[in-house]
This record gives sequence, structure tokens and C-alpha cells, in this order.
Amino acid sequence: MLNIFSSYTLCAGLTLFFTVLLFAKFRLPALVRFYALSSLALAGIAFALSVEGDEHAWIIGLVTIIVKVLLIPFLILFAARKSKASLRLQSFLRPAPSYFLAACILLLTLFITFDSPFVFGKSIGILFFVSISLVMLGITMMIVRRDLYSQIIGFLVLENGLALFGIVTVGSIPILIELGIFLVITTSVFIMSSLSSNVQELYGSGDTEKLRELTD
Amino acid sequence: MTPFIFIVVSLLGSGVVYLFKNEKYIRISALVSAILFAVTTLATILPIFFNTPIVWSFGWWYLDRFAALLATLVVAIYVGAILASYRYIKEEYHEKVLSLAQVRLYFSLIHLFALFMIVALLANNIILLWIAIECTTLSTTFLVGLYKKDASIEAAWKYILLCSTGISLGLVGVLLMSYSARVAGIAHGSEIFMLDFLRTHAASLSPEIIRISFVFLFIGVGTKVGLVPMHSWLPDAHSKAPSPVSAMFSGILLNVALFAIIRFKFIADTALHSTHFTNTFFLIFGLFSLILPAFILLVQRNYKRMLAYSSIEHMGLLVFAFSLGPIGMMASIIHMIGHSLTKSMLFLGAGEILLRYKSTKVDNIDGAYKKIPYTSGLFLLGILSIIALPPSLLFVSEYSMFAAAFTLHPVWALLALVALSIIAFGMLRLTLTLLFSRIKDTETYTREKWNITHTVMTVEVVLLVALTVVFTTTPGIDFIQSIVRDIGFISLQ
Repeated sequence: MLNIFSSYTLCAGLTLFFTVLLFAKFRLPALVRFYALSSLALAGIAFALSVEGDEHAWIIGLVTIIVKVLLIPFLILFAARKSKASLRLQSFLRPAPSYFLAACILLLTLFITFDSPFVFGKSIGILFFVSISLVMLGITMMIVRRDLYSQIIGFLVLENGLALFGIVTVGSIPILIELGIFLVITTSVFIMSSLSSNVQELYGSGDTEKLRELTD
Repeated sequence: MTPFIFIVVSLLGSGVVYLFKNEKYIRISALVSAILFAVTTLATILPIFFNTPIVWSFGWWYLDRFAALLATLVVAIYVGAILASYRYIKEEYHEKVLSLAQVRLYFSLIHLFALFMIVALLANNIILLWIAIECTTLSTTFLVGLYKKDASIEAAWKYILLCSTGISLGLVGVLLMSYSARVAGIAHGSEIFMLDFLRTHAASLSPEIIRISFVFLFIGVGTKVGLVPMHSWLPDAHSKAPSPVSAMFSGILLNVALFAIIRFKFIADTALHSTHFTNTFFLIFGLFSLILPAFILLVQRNYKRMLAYSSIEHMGLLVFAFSLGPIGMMASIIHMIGHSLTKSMLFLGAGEILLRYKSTKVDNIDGAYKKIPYTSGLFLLGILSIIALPPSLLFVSEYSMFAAAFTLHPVWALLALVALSIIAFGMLRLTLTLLFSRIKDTETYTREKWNITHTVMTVEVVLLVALTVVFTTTPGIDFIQSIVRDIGFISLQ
């Protein structure tokens, strides 16, 4: 029973908790803050795993903090402020239905992971559930929310889920490759933020409903 | 020669454009670094065709004939695109469509684009393969949105969002494949990520995990290939990018993404001990990718979007052919080569038309056969080649692939043929309207002169017909067979 409360399952629970909270936030600073907290919890998982025996995981935790907690939120807020985007974002759903949707997704993920052909121990099973639910929450966020910055955050939540999925399935990845993945994510966010500020300058708003010019 | 050399050459070439202040020197330096890159890459990969042992093909890199063929194709189309860019960017700069900063960005990113494609082809570590494919998306987003107009930025946004999400789902598949190797207990440490290791030990991987892994890989990387229904970014991105970049997109990037799926197909087939599961995916998505463009091309009025939908159709054909066993695979390889040459040539021609008329809508193009006769003639030749008229290489491949298809899946083959006929009709109708419309205004016009883009296009057409002759002779067919053997296949069940 003590396994449930071991440090990395606690951190995984925090990761999921903060992500569900950000699912229904409407101001960009709040979105980014909860993403940073969620990534901090993810780094906590990496540190906890390094204590358990995986030597290199603390480097991953450190890089996660530098990149996902500090650098990426800075990039997004900098791009938003520079293009004078409205920090109050648009969305299809108000808070209450958003949380309901998040709860439905978590339930769905529970059913999917119950029946999966993968065999995990109890605590790794919890990590697996958290990783899949992060992926599903990220994809749903990209579909449901209308504005550009929410879609970027949704993509980042998806990547967080993938990072956790990587830890669950393959354990440690060679350091160079791991750093490569972080570089790729940072560059993606940089490019997406830059494009968002271009859209903001061209259209005056961050609403993707305006991006409907290209049709057949 | 190790890959290290051409990586350094490409990075240097990408950075050196920032040293020059004169636009002409930027273009010359880009041309020189492109040719250097081509020479060093070919020196690194061509030896495998002469059966010399490749000493660096272990660890990070894995070179076999299939990768070498595709890398040669990448280099050829890349050099053609840079030669055409030399003129294209000069014209756009002088007409003030592009600023100096944009010219620098263009040449810098295009070198990185080619580098990441070659790295993806030669990578042994499957996560490095994933990173390289993702980096091709990242390095080309700003190329798609180069013109900073509303439609370009929208196309760039859709491109990066859809492709990055797709590739991330592909990462799930990659991680699951490595996980299956770890669970099977056969690997130590980072061997689970190595392609050569997975290929040799594929038979002992767990089938359930491989099945799930392949689904994610196919859907994820299939987004990058442009298979229906994950294709919605493709017409926008390929039509809004500058034409030499579109030529590289349609000509080689789609092939590189398909290369990744094919690598994993072999591993999945060996693990599942039958090709039925993967072939079903290839068949269904291939057919959908053939049928949707047939409908869209009937109502299309934009010639660059027409070419983009044609790319979706040809990728559908490639994927459909790959589900047909060894003959289909051979036809698919020949088709890859033919499509790269023809589509690249068509996009370069479209670029010439765009430079002259400044519009991608067919209704705004008048009197092309009089004002730009060389481009019109070559473009028409290209269209005739792409609808697989003999002696185009695509005729050889489509003939072989349907020969195999009618023995295996007669109904689907018939459906595919009907779709192809509709596409041929749609494209021909649009092309004839594009090229042979009456001249609207009566003011005098200047006829175009022969330029380097026309030379590149002519070389590609001549190469196409020459390869038709080569691949219908025994040495040519043996060559293709050796490549199919390197991809690896297990007997149809």
C-alpha cells in the first residue's frame, strides 16, 4: 500500500492535477503557470527515479526544469506580450463543461489502460495511466480550444505525456537523444510562438476561426 | 567518408549566408555549398552500390541500398531546386517581394532541410530518425510562411501543428517498438533503439505490442506522408511555399516519411509472421488517398493545389502498391523515382508561371502558350508524364503495380484505376485551360527566354525517359530487386 504514496506516483498525480486545472483556464499567464507547475512535477518524477537507481534521470529532471519550467513559459509569454495579444483567450467551452470533459477523458483513459496488453507493476501502472491521460488531454485541448496559444499549450501537454510515456516504456534514453528531443520541443514552441505573433499582427486576434481563407 | 563530413558542410553552408550583405553573393554561396553537400553526400553513400564494405554503417548510422537510393534522389532534387532557386529568388528579390533577411532565411533553412532529410534516411537509432523527421517540419515551417501573407501564415500554422502532432503520435509508436524489444528481454541498454538490432531480432518481439506500435506509427508518420484523412495540411503548405521548396516537399520529403513507415513495416511483418496486418493498412489508406484527390481535382482552379493533390494521389499509389507483395514493392520503388523527378519538374514549372503571372489561379493565366512557350511545353510534358503516359517511368511502375493488383485484389484495383482515370481527366482539363487560354489584353508582351529552370526541367524529363529504358532491361530490374531485397520482405500469406 505504501507504493501508492511513493514519491514518483505522488509527482505523477500532481502532474495530472495541474494539467486538469489548466484545461479550463482562460488567461494565458494562468495557463502557462499551471503548465510550468505540471512540468515541475514531471521533473520531480525524474528526480525520484534517479534516487531509485537510474543514474542519468537527474540530468533529465534538471533539463526539464530549465527548458519546460523556465524557458518555454518565458518564450510563450514573451511572444504574446510582444505582439500585444489579448491575454484573455477564446474557447468553445466555459469552465464547468471543460472540467466535465476532462473528467470524461480521465475515465476513458482508465478503461483503455485497464485492458491494455502491457504488464506493469502497480506504481508504474499509475505512471502509464497519467501519461496516456496527458496525451488525451493535450489532443482534446488542441481540438476544443479555438485560439492559437491554447493549441500550443495543448501540444506541450501532449509532449509532457509522451515524455512520461517514454519513462514508463523504455526507461532511460541515451542522453544525447534526450537532449535532442528537448531541443526539438523548444524549437517547436519558438516557431509556433513566432507564427502566433505573426497571426496576431496580421489578423488582430488569436482566434483560429479567422484562419479560414484556404479552402478548395 | 563518414556522414560527419556532409553534416559539417551543410551546417557551414547554412550559416555562411549570414556573412554576406550582397544578395548575389548569398545566392552564389548557397549554390556552392549545395554542390559541395551533394558531392560529399554522394561520395559517402554511392560506394554501397559497388558492393564496397561500408565501415561507418553501425552505431548511429545504417546504410543499405534503399536508403542510398532515396538519398541519391534527395540530393538530385535538392540540387535541381537550388539551381532553380538561384533564379527564382533573384527575380523575387528584384521585384521586392522578398527582403534580404527573407532571402538569407530561405537559403539557410533550405540547407538544413536537405541535411535533416539525409540524416533521417541514414539514421540507425529510431529516435534519431524521429528527431530528424520532426526537424524537417521545423526547418520548413518558416519556408512555408516565407511570404508573410495571410494565407501563407495560415498554411504554416496548419503545417506545423498537424505535422508535429502526427509525428508525436509516431513517437508513441517508436517508443512502443523499443518497449517490445525491452520486454522480450533480448536487448541491452540502448540496443533497443537500433534499427539493425530490431531488424535482426524482429521475430522475437511481442505481436500485440508491435500491432499497437505499428498503428501509431502508420497514423503518425502517415500524417507527414500526406495520406488521407491526415492530409489537410498538404495542399495548403505545398501551394503556399516558394516553388523550389514545394518541389522538394512533394518530390522528396513525402518519400522520406514513407521510408520511415516502410522500415517499420518490415520489422512489424517479421514480428507478426505475416504481412496481412500491415498490408491491410497500406491498402485501405492507399485507396482513400487515391479516391479523395479524384473528386477534388475535378473542381480545382488553382494549379499549385492541383499539383499538391496529385502528390497525395501518388503517395496513395505508392502505399497501395506496397501492399501487393514483391512485384508491388518493385513497382513502388520505380514509382518513387519517377514521381520525384516529375513532380519536382512540375513544381519548378509552376514557379515559372507564378513568376510571370503573379497568380496561382488558373483563371488569371492567359496566353501561356504564347508568352511563356518553353515553360508551357515542359509543363505539358510533365503533366503527360505524371498521368503515366508512356514513355514516362510512371507508366512502367503503374503497369507493374496493376498487374500485381489485379491478381490479388481485383475489385480494389478496378476502383483505383477508375480514380486514376478521373484524376487524369481532371488534371488534363485544368492544364489545357491553364496553358492554352486566349490572350486577354492586346498590349505587347515579352516572350520568355530560356533560363536555368528550364534546363533543370529538361534534364529531369530526359532522365525520366532514360530511366524508363533502363528499368525495362534486365540490369535495371536486377538493381530494383536488390533494393527490394534490402528492404526485406517475407512471403505473402
